[in-house]
Amino acid sequence: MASWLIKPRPLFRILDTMQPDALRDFTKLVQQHADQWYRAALRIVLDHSSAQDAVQDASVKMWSNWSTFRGDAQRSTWAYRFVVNEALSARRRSRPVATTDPSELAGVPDSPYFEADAVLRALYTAVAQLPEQQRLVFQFRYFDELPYADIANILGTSQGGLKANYHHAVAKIKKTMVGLNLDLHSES
Amino acid sequence: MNLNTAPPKRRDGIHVPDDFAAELAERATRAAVASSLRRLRLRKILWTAAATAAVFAGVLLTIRTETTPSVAPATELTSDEAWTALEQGDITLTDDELLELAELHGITTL
Repeated sequence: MASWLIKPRPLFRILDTMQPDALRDFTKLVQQHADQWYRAALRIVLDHSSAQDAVQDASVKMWSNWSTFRGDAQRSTWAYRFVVNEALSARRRSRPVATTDPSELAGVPDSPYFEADAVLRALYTAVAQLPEQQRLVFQFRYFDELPYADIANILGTSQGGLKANYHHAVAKIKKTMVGLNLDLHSES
Repeated sequence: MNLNTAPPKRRDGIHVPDDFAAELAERATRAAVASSLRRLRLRKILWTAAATAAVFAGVLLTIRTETTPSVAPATELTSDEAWTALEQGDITLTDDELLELAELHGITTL
C-alpha cells in the first residue's frame, strides 16, 4: 500500500490554507506553553492521558475562539483559562460523585513525569482536601508562582478574594501537614 | 560556571521532557486545525445546500408564475348592458338589484 495514502499532511501545508499570521501565533503559543498547560491539567485531572486530552481539547476551543480575544489580558493567560476550564470539566465528567478510592483521595497525579518525595505527596494529599477554588488558587500561586492578577484573569474572580482563598488554603494545608508530621517549605 | 543542562526542578514535581512537550504541542495544534477545517467544510456544505435550495425555490416560483392563468379583471356593465343581459337570461339579480336597475330604466312596476 502506498505510504502517502496514510501519511498525514504536513502541518505547514494545512497552515497555508488558513489565516497564516493567526495560525503562526497560535502554533507558537501552543509550543511555548504545552508543558505548563499539561502540568496544570495534570494537577487537576490527576491522570496522564486525561491531562493530554484536556490540553488538546482546550487548544481546539482556543483556536476556534482565537478572534474573540479582546486583549484585556495576556494571550497566555487567556489561553490558560481554556486549559483550566477544560481540565475542570474533564474532572467533573470523570468524577460525578464523591469518590472513596484511596488513590484518588490522595490527590497524587498519575503520570510518568511525576516524581515526588513523601513531603510533596503529603502536600498533594492536603491540597486534595481543599475546596475547588482554594485548591486552584493554591496550585497557581504555589506551584506556578503566578501573580494574583493573572490568577484573577484565569479564574474570573477578584484579587482580594483570591488572596483570602490562598491564605485559607495555606492554613488548612499546614494543619493537615502537621497532622501528618510533615512540614511544607513556607512561602511568604 | 553552571554546566547543568537538566530542566529546572518544578515545585509540583511534574517534569515534562522537551520531546513530550513538543509532541503534545504538535498534536494539540493539529487537532485545533483539523477541527477548524471540519467546521469550514461543514459551513461550505451548508452554504452550498442553502444556495441550491434558494435557486431551486426561485426557479420553481418563476415557472409557477408563468404557467398560472391570469385572472380576468372584473368587468363593469352599464345599466343598459345589464338590462340586456337580464332579458337574455345571462345574469340573475337579487330583488334589490332588480329594483335599482328598473328604476334606472324608468320602470315603476314589474
